[in-house]
Amino acid sequence: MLIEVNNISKKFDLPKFKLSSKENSFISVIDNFSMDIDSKDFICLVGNNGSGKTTLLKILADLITQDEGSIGRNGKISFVSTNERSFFWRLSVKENLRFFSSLANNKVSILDDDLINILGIDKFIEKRFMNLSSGQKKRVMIARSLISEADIFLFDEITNSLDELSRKQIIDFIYEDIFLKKNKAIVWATHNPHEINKKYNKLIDLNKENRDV
Amino acid sequence: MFRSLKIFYAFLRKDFLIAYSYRTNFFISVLTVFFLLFILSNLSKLTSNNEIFGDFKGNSFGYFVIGLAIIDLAMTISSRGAAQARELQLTGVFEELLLFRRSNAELMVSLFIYPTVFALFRFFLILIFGVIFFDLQINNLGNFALLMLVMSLSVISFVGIGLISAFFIIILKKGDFVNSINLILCIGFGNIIFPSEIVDTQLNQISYFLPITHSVELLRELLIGSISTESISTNLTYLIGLSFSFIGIGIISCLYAIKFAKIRGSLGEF
Repeated sequence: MLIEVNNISKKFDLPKFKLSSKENSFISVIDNFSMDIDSKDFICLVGNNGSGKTTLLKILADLITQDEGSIGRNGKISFVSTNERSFFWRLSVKENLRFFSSLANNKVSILDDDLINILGIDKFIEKRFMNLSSGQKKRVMIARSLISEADIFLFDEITNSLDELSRKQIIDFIYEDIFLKKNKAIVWATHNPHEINKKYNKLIDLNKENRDV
Repeated sequence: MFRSLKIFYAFLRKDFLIAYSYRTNFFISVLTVFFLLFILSNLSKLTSNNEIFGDFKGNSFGYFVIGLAIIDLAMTISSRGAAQARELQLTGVFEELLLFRRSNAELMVSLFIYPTVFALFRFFLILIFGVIFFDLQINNLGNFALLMLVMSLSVISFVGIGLISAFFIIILKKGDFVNSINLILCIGFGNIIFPSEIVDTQLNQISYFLPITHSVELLRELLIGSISTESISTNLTYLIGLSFSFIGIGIISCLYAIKFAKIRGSLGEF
């Protein structure tokens, strides 16, 4: 088992806008949730906006600490969000990838990996990140996620704002090259499970009304 | 150790390339050094024979230049490093960095590598411009090892203050006030523009707890004054104590801040 999640819960404090307000209000985002991730899993995490997909993925990636419950992690985790700002926009794609590669303990740089060519990054590697299209930025995000040679990849609605062709190319790359060829576990968060066309072997519905489905 | 150096180099390279992409800003910041020295050289004509400068009576320009160089070093390191923490949090890069599972202490210190190199560049530029264009007399370069020790301890303490500012940035999302308070204290009590003894209250005791007080006194003695072993050993003892205290407090507080932000779920907030 790569990740074992046992009865975790997470609440967030809501900001107070009235100085006179003394009540502490909070919102419960995840309540008593459990799941397992195995090395051969392609999990589709489905939920509407605000259902807790991002919070759950960030808890799995150890970017947020759960209030209750426990998580056992037995592998490296990579998290890919929709945040395009999380790069150095004035640097080239190559310099960005070189910087993030130096943070990992790998002997071989991602820049020497064939996946760069498969993702088509070699065509715009000298361009500044700020000059890329949304589809190109997403490819660079995926390339960065490959740097840490993770065992589990958490994708958080990464195909949002992409056209159909780019969406298909990215999903095919993740399914064929990361899941099938590299044998990595995938957790794919989306509000639309149809976009991955039943490539998953587990479906977890975070919508509260369907929590037991 | 090698791994840490590799990461420090990666941050240095990345920050240099970003700064280089704003070339005009870089060259203007170099030019401002020249104009600051020009103002100080004129100001020193008014104050040259004032008794308050003690041993440096007759050389208030040298007194001012060392003060300017060290305050520039201190504020550039602490404010630019802390500003980088804010920027990385704002853009979400900070979360990405944490995903690589490096030591958080190493990561936080890395934010201060380029600001330190840039600040040291400006520090020596102030002295070099001072000597070349404004007749600054530097007379004690023979104590190079001691000079390097004082510079290293000063940099460590300024990084520590910057880390405390970064702590507030991670927790409260704003930490500029730490640098503002530091600047006010340094100018008021740090012997930068005038000796703290002329502050006629018990408040001048604050100067003992400011690393910059001891840095600036040591540098003045080492570069433009006559060296007194007693004064150097006292100031050096204070500076060693304060440097290790500030860097220790800074690192521990940043580690706590990251843990706190993960619990609050506020790492990505700004």
